Amino acid sequence: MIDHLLETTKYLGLFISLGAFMIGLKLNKKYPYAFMNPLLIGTVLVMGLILALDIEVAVFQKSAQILSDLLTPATICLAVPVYRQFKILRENSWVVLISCLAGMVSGLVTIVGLAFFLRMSGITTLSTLARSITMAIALDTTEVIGGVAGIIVAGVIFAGIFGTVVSGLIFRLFRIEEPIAKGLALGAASHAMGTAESLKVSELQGAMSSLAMVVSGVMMVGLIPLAALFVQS
Amino acid sequence: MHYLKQFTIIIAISAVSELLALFIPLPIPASIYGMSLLFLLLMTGTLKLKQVESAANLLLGIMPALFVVSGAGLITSYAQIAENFASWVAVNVGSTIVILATTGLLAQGLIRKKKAKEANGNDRSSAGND
Repeated sequence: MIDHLLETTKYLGLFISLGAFMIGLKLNKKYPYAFMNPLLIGTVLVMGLILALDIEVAVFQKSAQILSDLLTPATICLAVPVYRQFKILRENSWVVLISCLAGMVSGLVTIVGLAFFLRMSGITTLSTLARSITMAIALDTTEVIGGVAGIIVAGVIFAGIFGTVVSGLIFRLFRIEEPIAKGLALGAASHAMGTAESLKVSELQGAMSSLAMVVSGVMMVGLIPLAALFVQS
Repeated sequence: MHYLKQFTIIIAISAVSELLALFIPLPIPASIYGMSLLFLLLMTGTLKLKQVESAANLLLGIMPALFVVSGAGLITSYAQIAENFASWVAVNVGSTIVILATTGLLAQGLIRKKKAKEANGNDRSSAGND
C-alpha cells in the first residue's frame, strides 16, 4: 500500500526524508548533545518508518532519489571553500599529507588487527577496509579487491554518522583544539558526512575536511590493495 | 536569473565529470573529478567565485540532509553483516576512533610545532603554552 503510494507520488518520499532531518535539527537545538545529531536522528527515523510500515528499501530510496542525485553537485561545490581557504591550505600542505597518510594507515592496521582478533570472516574484513573514505571510491576499490557491496555501503555510512557523532568527545578527550586538525580528522574518518559537519563549524574546518576527504580517498586507492594482502580468507 | 546561471555551471561541471569517470579507467568517482575541475577553473580565473558562489552555498547548506536516503541502505546491508555483527561493529567503532585521534593529534602537533617556530622567530615570549 505505502510502497504503491511512494511509487506513484513524486514528493512523498522526499518529504519524509527532509521531514525526518528537520525533526533531527529541532531535537538537536532543544537537546544539544552529540548523539542528538540531525543526520543520525533523521536516518534512525526513516529506518524506523521503513521497518514499521514494511516498506521496500529500494522503493523508498527511489522515491527520494533527488537527494542522492544532488550529492555529486554538492560534493563538487566543496571546491569553493577549498578555494577560499587556499592560502592556509598551501601553508599546511605537508600537515595535510602526513596526517592523512598516518590516519589511513593506522585505520587499516586497526581494521586488519581487530578483525583478526575477533575472528571476523575474511570477506567481511575485505569489505570493510575502505570504510572511512567517500562512498564512490570505497565501492570501486572494494570491488577491485573482491569485497561485497552491501557490507562496504554499511561501513561507509557507519563511519560517516558515528565519526560525526563521536568526534566532539574524541576531540575533548585528546585535547584536539586546532580547527585545522579537527577538520582533517573529520574528513579523514568520516568523508563527506564529516565534512558537512565541519562546514557547520567554520569555513576553515570545512575546507580542511574537504581536502582530507579527497587526499585520504586517493591514498586509499593505493593502500587498500596492499592491506588486502594481510587479510586471511 | 543568477541562480539559474550558477546552477547551469555546476551541473555542466557535474556532467563533464560524470563523463570523465565513465571513460577514465580509475576508481575515482565523478564528484572528485568535479571538485578538482571546479577548483582548477577557479584557480586559473576561468571562473570567478561570484559566478558559482550563491548556488554552491545553497548546495553545501543542504548537504547534510542529502545523506538521509543512503543511510536507510543500512537496512538492506544488515543481512550480509548479521553473521559477524558484533565484531563488525567493534571494528568500525575502533577504526573510526583511531583515525580521528591519529589524524587530529598528528595534525595538531605539526601545526603547533610550526606555530612555535614562527613565534620564536618573531617573539620568543609568545611561543607554546601547552
